[in-house]
Amino acid sequence: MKDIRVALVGNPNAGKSSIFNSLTGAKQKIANYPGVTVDIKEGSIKQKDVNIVIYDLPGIYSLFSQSEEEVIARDFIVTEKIDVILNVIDVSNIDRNLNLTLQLMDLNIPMVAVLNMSDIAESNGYSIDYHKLSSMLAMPTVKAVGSKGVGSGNIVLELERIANGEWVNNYPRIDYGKDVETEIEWLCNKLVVPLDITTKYSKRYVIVKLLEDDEAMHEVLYVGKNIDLLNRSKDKINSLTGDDSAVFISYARHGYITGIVRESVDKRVIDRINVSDKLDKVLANRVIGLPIFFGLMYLLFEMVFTIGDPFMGWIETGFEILSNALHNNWNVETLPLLRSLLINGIIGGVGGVIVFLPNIILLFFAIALLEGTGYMARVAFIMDKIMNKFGLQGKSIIPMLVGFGCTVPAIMATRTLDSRRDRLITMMVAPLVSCGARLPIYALIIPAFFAEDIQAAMLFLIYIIGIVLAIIFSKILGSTIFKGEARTFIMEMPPYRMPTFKGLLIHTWDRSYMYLRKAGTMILAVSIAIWAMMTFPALPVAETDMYERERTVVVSSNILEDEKESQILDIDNRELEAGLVYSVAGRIGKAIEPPLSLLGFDWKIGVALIGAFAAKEVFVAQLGIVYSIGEATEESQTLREKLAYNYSPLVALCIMLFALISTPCVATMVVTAKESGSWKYAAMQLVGLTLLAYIISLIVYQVGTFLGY
Amino acid sequence: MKDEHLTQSLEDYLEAIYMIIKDKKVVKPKDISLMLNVSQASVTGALRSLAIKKLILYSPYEPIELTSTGLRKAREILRRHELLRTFFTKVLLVDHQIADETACKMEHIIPKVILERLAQYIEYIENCEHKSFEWIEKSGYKCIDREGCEECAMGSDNSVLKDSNGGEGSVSLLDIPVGKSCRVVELDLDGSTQKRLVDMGLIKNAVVSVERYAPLGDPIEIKINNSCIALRIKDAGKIVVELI
Repeated sequence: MKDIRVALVGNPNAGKSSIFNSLTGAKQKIANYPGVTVDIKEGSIKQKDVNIVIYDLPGIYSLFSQSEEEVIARDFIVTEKIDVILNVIDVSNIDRNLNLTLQLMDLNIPMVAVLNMSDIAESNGYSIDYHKLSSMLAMPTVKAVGSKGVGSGNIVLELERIANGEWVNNYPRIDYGKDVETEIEWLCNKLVVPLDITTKYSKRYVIVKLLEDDEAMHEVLYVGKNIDLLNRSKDKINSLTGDDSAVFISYARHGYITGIVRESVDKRVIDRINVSDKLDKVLANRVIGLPIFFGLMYLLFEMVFTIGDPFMGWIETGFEILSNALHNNWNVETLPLLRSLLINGIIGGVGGVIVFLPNIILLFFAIALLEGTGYMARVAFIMDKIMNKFGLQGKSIIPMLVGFGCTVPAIMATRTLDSRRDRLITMMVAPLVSCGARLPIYALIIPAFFAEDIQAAMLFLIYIIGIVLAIIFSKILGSTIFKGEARTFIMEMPPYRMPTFKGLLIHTWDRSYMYLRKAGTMILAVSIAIWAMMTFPALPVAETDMYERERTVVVSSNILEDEKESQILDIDNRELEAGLVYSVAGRIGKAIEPPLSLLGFDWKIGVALIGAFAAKEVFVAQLGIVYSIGEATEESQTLREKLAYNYSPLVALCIMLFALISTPCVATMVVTAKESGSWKYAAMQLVGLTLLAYIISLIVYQVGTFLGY
Repeated sequence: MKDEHLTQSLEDYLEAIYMIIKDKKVVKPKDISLMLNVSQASVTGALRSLAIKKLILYSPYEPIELTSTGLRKAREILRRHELLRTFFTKVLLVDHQIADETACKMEHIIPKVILERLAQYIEYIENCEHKSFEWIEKSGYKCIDREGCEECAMGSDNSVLKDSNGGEGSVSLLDIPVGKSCRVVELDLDGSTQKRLVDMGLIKNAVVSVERYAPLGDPIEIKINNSCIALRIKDAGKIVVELI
């Protein structure tokens, strides 16, 4: 059995994913390559004598190392020893797509051209001579319609042929004209090219890339004697042709393409009103474009949360039943630690994350729909000016909006951003958009401290503060830490398309699965760690005995049953509190009390904040424990009374600010590390946000105190 | 384009900024003071006035950028300069250095109508295939060949003489009304942006139509071949086109 490795390469929006899906079906996974922050999907097709492994690379316009995707795609093809390149070409845009095809030819790897969306092209009045195109490009061509699965069989057939050795390299060599060719030849003899490069690329390819100002090549080869040689050649080309060598070469390539297209494609212009155009007249309209966008976003959230709600409820009840079952049927005497670990640590922690799964699935489905139809590009178009003011670009709006639901998918949604700089900035500030898990904290605190008529305003204010901070900090980050990588906004607006249901499901599943997997690994581990912090060291026997004695006294006393029960509950809660104080978390809470006291917080808030790091909503339950009323919910009136008795409204505001600004949860940190490809950024986010939360709460508290609040 | 009056020295500054951008991509006040041989302080003053007139984007410690109006204005000034110089050297056959210096002074005051006439005259002389006159010390210009001068005024390739916008300076994509098409004459963007656009098919002579502007006026959507591309106003202003 032979393995052949096939790379799927093509322009963005050329329909690579649909070809990939129709070739590999559901048998695909995210390929894991170190340092790669853009997904490369892997799928395989088993034939009787060959196993075809296909890698879906990010969409690129050229092999130039301009964007992260281009570097990744090129490095992948070269270093991963790809046997065949499957070049997906959008026929209705054949000129531009062939630009990449010609660059790929320079790599001297067998290629198959997949002429995708041939149905659209034909209905647009194109008639293509496939045979002629094949011979002009010196590679097999397959007519395909990826969304309908047309052409998959032929693609496999061609791949098998190449696997059986039926390939001769006779790619056409583009003649760049006498002036340039002379220089290429001259450089071929003079330029010093290290061996590790010549084993990967032909010398001609290297020189053409250098003349095209390719950055990656420059880094390696623009040294020593080469600098003079290259500059001399470039000057010469410039003076002979009147154009910069890079520009001249790309013109030559475009000229060559025009020739190919003229020979093999007959474009009868059919003048018909394009559906996309019509839709854009409405959706990207100067007057109603923005209102429609906000309307759709509102609908999206409405959908995600209303449809998701009942499912969330079911999952919540499910975990509750499980937890109660364990609680009631597992005797406290047998393996009490394991019992507590299961109930409080694992079910509590992981359950808290899985509860959001319905929302996450719906959200990812909605995003897949927005991307699949092409509306996402319009969103970027409509919002670019606003986002540009904040130092970002139009597409950043989507992760920000998603962030109101949950920060984890928001950070995952930054994948749609094509500039790494913008992606990192968006990841850093996305947690400032107040997520759903922070709502219980506000819901507990606001009614406890603020008069009913300003409660809604208070909540709104908190959300607005988050948004304003996100804006300010994207601007600041963009002009400091992430400076210099700024790229302007150039984006293709793909025609509107009806995405296939299968494609939507695959996209949704991919992302949801990643979320689930995280819940099962990292979050599980951290939940256990936090549980341990709050459990160990356990209260000394002397103390537990004391509580036990108190209970026996109550039980044996002759008061009413109801009274007994409430007294026992009170003792239980006090024991719980004492246990927490004695634990590592309690001790840390005490230890950080001095700096927290500057914000008006005591150690109890400190302990709750440590718990909140597992997941924000844990804050409420923690506060319940430290105030000896058991595990509270945000509706707990007793807890509100205790809070109102112990803190001032100013402190309450500071608690909310701190909860808003500091890192939302461990899951956010983990996903940031994963998506940015480095723990460095996760650490930066954690430290930065915590520091920011501290400073802002400090200022608010100190100024507020000074003003007499 | 209304002719907002610029003082002679501001025109010199604008021209200098344009030349430095062409040469180095990034302009710092120091480069300007070196080029024009003036103090840094006067550069700062001039930059402020240019920024107020919305011809450049300028804030301290950041690279200076030309706005699209500024770019047009600078090109216009440069064209006047080159046209005059060409006239002095090609028609009057004056020494190159004197021609350049005089052009520098005259470029600020010469009225449009005279400039255009000069352009036509240069074209006339250039295309006179007989190259039939010469300048002789003390006896002035002298015609050598008296015949066949009818074809003289036929089209010239000299780009300095050409004014693609009916005498209004060059046109950028932003001057094209929505729904109209134009042909790309020149891209004047920085390296990576330019490469990306070229990869997307925006090359010299490509036919481009302006589809729409975003609700807030930026970015702009253009159509080339069969694909629509959105780009920012800042970049679109640097794409020189001609109406077709």
